[in-house]
Amino acid sequence: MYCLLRQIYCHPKKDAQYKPPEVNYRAIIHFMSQSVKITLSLVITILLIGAAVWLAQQNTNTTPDTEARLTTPKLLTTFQLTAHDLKPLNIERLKGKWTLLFFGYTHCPDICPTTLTELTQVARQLQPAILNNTQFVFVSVDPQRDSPESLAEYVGYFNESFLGATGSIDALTAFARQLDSRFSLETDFAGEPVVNHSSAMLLIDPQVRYYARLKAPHYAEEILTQYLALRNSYSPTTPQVTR
Amino acid sequence: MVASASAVDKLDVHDAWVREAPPKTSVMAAYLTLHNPSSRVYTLTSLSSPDFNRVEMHRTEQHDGMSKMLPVPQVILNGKDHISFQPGGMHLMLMNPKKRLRAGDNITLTLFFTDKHSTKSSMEISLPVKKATTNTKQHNSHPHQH
Repeated sequence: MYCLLRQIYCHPKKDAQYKPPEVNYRAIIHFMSQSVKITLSLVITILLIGAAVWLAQQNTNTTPDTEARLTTPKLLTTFQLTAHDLKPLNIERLKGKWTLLFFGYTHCPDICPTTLTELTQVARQLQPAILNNTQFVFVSVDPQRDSPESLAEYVGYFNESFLGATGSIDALTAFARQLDSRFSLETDFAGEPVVNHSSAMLLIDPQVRYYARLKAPHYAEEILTQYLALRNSYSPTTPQVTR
Repeated sequence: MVASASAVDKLDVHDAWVREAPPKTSVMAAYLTLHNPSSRVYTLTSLSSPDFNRVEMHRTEQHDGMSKMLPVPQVILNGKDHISFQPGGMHLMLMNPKKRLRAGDNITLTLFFTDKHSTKSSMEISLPVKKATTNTKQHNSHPHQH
């Protein structure tokens, strides 16, 4: 570096008196180490801010309500099913209350009773005011085997206030479609009916809008947390229907 | 729990119970954990019960947002391993109970096994009928360990 500087800045033969300028290496090293420190602390600060922002986003993405809530609630259009009390289950019957609904069938020994047991726990843990404003509906997609009368006995076993409902295949298909749900009825090799159905639990708001979708597996504690969070964050700007 | 005198005597059965079902139900589910402390491999090929017309092994599967129940033809129980039949997963499907079963009743179940030499053995167990309580995440995701 010294030689290089000399070649550029002087000509020893022309200027015998030339003295190379003194290079303050200490100052350079000090300056460099200072800038390294500043750069490092800047990088660390930026990384920390980035991490904080990312974490905050992660946090809002996974709150119990936003995870399940639909971006745009879908107003349900006319449908008609028959409830276990032989009265229609239609828009009118869902109005003014929150409805937790899921699809199944009574010849399902495992997942349907498991989910209904979880829902009885949810019902047990809700405050009376909230419970009075909540309906639990089990929709059987197996109308050939599940009559409204048999649903009364089945659903009543879990909780007297739960509603069982079913309808014609066409009515059930149209209703399920409104809730982004589906089912299929098949027969296995032994001629036994095989029923497949969407496993999500649907939340319908008091304005009868398909409002949120709770994914399986269903646990009482999680349903409760999600449901209460969804009610709490129910936007005041959204006009609510009251009876 | 009583096991018949056979090679499978070495298998342990834990957490065996039958879910009490609503009246007039035609299917019930039983759950249990089988533990094989030996180093032999057993295959659970079928089951029967004097209290039901038929017993089958099934699995509830969540696929693409759908719940499906699939028959399980047989279950291999490796040495030092365990298998769990539990809510929301593999379960024993008890078809057409011969009478209404309520919490507090017991049912008899016979499990049929074969080993690698195709030697058949069976095991008879008694399971209590219970009213299901709530499921917890831990219970479902962590099979019973011993």
